[in-house]
Amino acid sequence: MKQYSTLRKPILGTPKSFEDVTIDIATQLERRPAKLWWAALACAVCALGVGATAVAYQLKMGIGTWGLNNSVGWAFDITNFVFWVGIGHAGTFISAILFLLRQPWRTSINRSAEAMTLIAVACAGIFPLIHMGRPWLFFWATPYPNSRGPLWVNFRSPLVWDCIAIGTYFTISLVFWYLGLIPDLATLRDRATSKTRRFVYGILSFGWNGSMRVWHRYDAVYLLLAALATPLVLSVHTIVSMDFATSIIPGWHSTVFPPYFVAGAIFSGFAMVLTLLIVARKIMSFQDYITIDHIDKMCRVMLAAGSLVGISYAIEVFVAWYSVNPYERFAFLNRALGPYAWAYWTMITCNVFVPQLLWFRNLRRNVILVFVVSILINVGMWMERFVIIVTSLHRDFMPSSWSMYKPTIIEIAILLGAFGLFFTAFLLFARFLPFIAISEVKGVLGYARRPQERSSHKVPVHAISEAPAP
Amino acid sequence: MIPTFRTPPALARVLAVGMAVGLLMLVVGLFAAPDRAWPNLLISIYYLTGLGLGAGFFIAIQYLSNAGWSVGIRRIAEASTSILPVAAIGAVVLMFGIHNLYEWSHSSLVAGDSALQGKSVWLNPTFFAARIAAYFVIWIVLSKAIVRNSERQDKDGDPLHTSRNVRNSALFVVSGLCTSVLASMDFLMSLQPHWYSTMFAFASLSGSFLSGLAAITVLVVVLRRLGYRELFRDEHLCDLGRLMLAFSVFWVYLWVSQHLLIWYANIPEETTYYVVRHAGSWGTLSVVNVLLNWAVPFLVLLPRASKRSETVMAAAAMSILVGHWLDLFIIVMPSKFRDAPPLGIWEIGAFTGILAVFFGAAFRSLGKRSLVPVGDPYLVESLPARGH
Amino acid sequence: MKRHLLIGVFENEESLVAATRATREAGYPIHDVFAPYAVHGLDQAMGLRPSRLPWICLSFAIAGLLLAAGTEFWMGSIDWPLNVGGKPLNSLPAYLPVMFELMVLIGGVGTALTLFVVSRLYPGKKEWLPDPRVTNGRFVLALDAAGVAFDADRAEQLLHRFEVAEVRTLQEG
Repeated sequence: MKQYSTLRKPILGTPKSFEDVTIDIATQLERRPAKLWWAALACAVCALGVGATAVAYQLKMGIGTWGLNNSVGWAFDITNFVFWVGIGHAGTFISAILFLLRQPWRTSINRSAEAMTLIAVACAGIFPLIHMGRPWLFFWATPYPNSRGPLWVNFRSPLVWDCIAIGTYFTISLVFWYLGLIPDLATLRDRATSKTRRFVYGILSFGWNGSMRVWHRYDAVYLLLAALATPLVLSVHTIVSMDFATSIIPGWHSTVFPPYFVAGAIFSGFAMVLTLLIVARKIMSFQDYITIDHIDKMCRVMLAAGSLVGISYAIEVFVAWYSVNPYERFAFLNRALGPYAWAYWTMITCNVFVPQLLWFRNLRRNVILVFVVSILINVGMWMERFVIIVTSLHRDFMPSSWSMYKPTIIEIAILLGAFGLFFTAFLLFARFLPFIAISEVKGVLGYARRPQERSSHKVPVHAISEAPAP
Repeated sequence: MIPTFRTPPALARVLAVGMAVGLLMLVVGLFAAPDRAWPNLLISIYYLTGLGLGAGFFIAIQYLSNAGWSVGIRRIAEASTSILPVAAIGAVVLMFGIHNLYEWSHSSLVAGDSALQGKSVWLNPTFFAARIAAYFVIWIVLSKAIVRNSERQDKDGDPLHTSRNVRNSALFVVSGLCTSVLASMDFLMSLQPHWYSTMFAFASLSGSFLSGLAAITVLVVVLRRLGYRELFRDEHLCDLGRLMLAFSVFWVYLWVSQHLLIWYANIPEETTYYVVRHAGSWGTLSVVNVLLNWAVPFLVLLPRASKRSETVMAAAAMSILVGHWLDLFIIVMPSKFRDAPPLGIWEIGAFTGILAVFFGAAFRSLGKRSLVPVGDPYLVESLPARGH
Repeated sequence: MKRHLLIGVFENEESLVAATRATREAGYPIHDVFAPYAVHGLDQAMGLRPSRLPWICLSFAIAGLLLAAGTEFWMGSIDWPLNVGGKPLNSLPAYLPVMFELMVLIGGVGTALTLFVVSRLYPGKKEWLPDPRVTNGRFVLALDAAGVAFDADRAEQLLHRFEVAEVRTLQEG
């Protein structure tokens, strides 16, 4: 038998049987939605509606409805794109990297975090799409035989890499997430009372019956997908960072961008996971599943990623000074003291100073404080992308081409719409699919439970080794 | 009970000969071929520091993540950190070679170069020496504190030592990361004082961490061969294999990213670095570097069975240990020898010497205390499962 | 084809694993085991060989890598050799990101599809459950009872040594 240190604690707050786990998670989907859920959905759909209207207007009138100009040709949209892609990275970190690191506590949070990944990547995808101006021609970004030569896409362009990376990321995340859902959908199917539920979950669960021969292969595939998703998650934000770093603009061309963007993505993603889960665990009464220990551990990951981000900021500033290159030096002085200094200092405050609170154990275990910190980090990480993108462009080599950028109401409405889409989809997910991975939680129920504890809760343990061999 | 470890006399003799060869080549080299000996000393010191710091980061990360699997091999990592004081002594000697190594240390050269003047606040011999001293003090004090707590726990088994070490580890990771970032820029990047890359520190640290893991793996394999398979189990070997695989990929990821971005932007100030290193024989060595640090360990460690084979794991680890030396060689030497890599007896002597010094120090440290931290509350998770 | 099965229902994984190992060692043919989650160590107890899917995954991944490399070099360097930004036609560094992405994409999707094919999982498939609770909180060990040599009584006795909750016969349909 696996032995656990006496310092280990079980994953769940209170001991549960297998049936308890099924009931706790499934009843959330089987009872009628609460008023609060309807209210939240209504708000989210309104925001989505505002955004959709703004997008429709922009498509009709053109990109001129945005505040872009000749110097600042990329601003709000790409900021949002990077922001949302970054959010997604926490889901893959939890589902793949923590799986490879054999962290059993991930089972309580991986399902919702992966759903968040998918939704966030979908939100991200909107921005480059609408920036194309004619989004119905999006397939021009893919290499397909055409009557223009055929003229192929330029595979040396980071934008083409990006298109393929985001597509791969979304697909692999979807496969990974759905694979994890299949056993749980079968559980929902087998306890469904209404015909519709049985039918729908029956189709979606692929005829799953818990056969160990299938589980055996399933485990192998899960491990393989985790092993593929781990370098994938690094590569995605690396490629996103290369949209900027392959250029020669001071403030964009920095070789540290790839690991720095990845760390930032995990940092912001964990902040969003905490924002969502702190609310969800309360409303859906999942405090026994997503415990204070979970929040503590997520804070520690966030602190680690945040420290890497902070060190990267420092390296960038130091090397800009060290380079003795007047343009590099100016780019960073302009960030800190120029017209966008407010954004820069918001970023530094939220991403560098605020997370220092998380060094203290009792603060990490203070749910309200962690919630506030997570929101501040979300704000800070959005600002980071804004600072990198806009301040580097608005004043580059030639003062004659300097200009200022201000988002228009249309751009702000589109960002609002993206949040609307994000929350609408997340609320629907929470209603129709199991919010916590039922089968995975069952697999770690025995973790660090003492034998006597286990036997008192319907999961009896017997001295197997003493059973006589037949 | 845990047996005490004694370095077998045959191994001790081999290590002693290796150290003697290394020392002899260094002393003779400093007079006969100073242009090669000083850079070789720099490579050696950086290499040894990397092995010690890599092990230190390994221990600290295990504490911070409350890991159980690795407790059984922690003493080996602790033994690796005992190389840090040796490296510090080497760094003191290195200070006498500053003028031979670093262009910015010549005030006559700096006077005629506006870029170097701009950096002279940072890059000047006094401040340089003070910084290096500070780095070593921080590394040695913090790693010793962790090792001492772990040792104390052997006697009383108090979990309080674990929580103290978690705090020490947090301090070690934060201050160690900041200082080693600066140290890599000071020791290595300033060899070409006009060139800069923000990735440089991370790329070089990932190599150090990888080599630290490889050194721990070699020690585990040697101890298993000496009959300690009960303590250092297949599972430990397997997990070390996974870590080496992961960080080997991480190393190549940073290597490719830095190369790709500089190649792509094609800014003359930056590409000079690669122009030298990717031409002629240096170019061949750069390819070998990627092969040794990534391709060989990656392909060798990919199949499940190979991570449980002592021979395969030792081979992969040796590939990384040689590869990391080559990596440093390619970073350091071209600043002086642009046209052709100077590979000869001085370099082979130095490499033999550092391996012997490292393993000598590690085995000596292993003999001083119990081979596993017997008082650690997480040790039970690192031991064989009972029952089956 | 319908099969005669003798099934034992268990309430915890420890008894299930022990019973599975014991029945296999006693020579009873194990049809399958059903569990609500992937029970650790059960595959060894059943005597399942390590899956060959890692090799499938590796093959798909290599195929993806080669496909991407071929596509990029053919389209970008041979079929339409366009000079972009003075980059050489043979731009291996710039081709690496897409090669990596397609390696992961085709490796991952190919492996998942292989799983669905070899395990015969597809949308809308009608499930066959030996006990309605196997997706909730019960474990089922199903022995193949069709063989001439199968001694149902002795098998049942064996199962009872491992705290089996119920034993019954069943037809797979």
